Amino acid sequence: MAIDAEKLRTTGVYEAQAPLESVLADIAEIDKAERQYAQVRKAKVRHGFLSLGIGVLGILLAVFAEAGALVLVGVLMALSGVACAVILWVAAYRYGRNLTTYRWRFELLGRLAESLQQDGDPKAPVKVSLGLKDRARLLKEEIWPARPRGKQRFSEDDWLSIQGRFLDGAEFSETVYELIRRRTYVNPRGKSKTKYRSRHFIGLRLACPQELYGDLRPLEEGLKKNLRLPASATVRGVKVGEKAVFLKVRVAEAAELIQANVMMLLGLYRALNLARQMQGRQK
Amino acid sequence: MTPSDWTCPRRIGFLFPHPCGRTSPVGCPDCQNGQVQDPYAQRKDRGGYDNYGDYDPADWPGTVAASGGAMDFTEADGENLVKPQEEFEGDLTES
Repeated sequence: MAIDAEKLRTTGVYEAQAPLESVLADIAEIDKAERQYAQVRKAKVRHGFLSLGIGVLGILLAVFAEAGALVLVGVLMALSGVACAVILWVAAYRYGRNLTTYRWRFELLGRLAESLQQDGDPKAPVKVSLGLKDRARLLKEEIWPARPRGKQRFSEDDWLSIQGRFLDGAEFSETVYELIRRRTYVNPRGKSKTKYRSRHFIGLRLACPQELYGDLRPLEEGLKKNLRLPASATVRGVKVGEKAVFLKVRVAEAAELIQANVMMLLGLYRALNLARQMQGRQK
Repeated sequence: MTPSDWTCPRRIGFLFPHPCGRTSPVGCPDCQNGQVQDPYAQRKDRGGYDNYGDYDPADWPGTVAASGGAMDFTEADGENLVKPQEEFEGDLTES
């Protein structure tokens, strides 16, 4: 399935319901599109300089020309050259910028898809929604009393959701969102300051076929005890039901998101493999 | 020469073992042309989980001890984990 690169550039959202292999092919296309946009941006910057050069020539013509008509041409050249340069540079800055800013997001999805592909059901489609632009929604705005004229805003950006099925029949559902805190205040010298902090949260749910894994509830304590995560990640919730497991992890460093993701899956499946083994021995 | 009806009996997988099912080991990234006997167990890329298949009863209260002792996976246990593809496609209404 080919992606609509232009739609992706304007909407900033990648959505698919397709096998993992197809999602990986899409990500390769997004990567290609992002590189093309970078080339277009460079070309626009170059054209901007060319326009500026024309503008400078126009200024020189307007200053040094003796004939009135040439002065007019020079003025027009100067105005249009400078205007075009500004327009081109602004366009260059904005063109496909979201894909570049959030390149790490689709790279992360690619690495996650590669990891899932090893045990994913190749016939079952995965449903993916990936945000490639800032879609943060305001959660709360309040006074921050610690600083003079302090304010803090909390917002949330749900940027990734993925659902699919593994070869063992377990259905996974994962969401990744970023919680952002932006604090503004005025320092003693009267300057307005902004402090930004963000944390990522991964919520992973696995619904397991009971005939294969039995009752999962006895795993809860062992799962909590044996779960390993990267340094900046902390467990924020573990729920083990009869047929499903839910795990929520906070990750401070975005660079550790994929590692945290894979380690969560490994931690859950280490427990599930034990459950499956016990279930097998009971039969 | 690999027989035409041959399917690879090895266990592969990252999170859990499942049958390889390839019809030839040639060019296989898991067993590397048949050189790795148990690609699932011999993986070294489970960062942080070096003892992925080992279960110390002290670390798994209410599970390993309840089943009567150590639960380190043997090859026989591994075979139990490996189910034919059809079984994976079974009833999912439970989930």
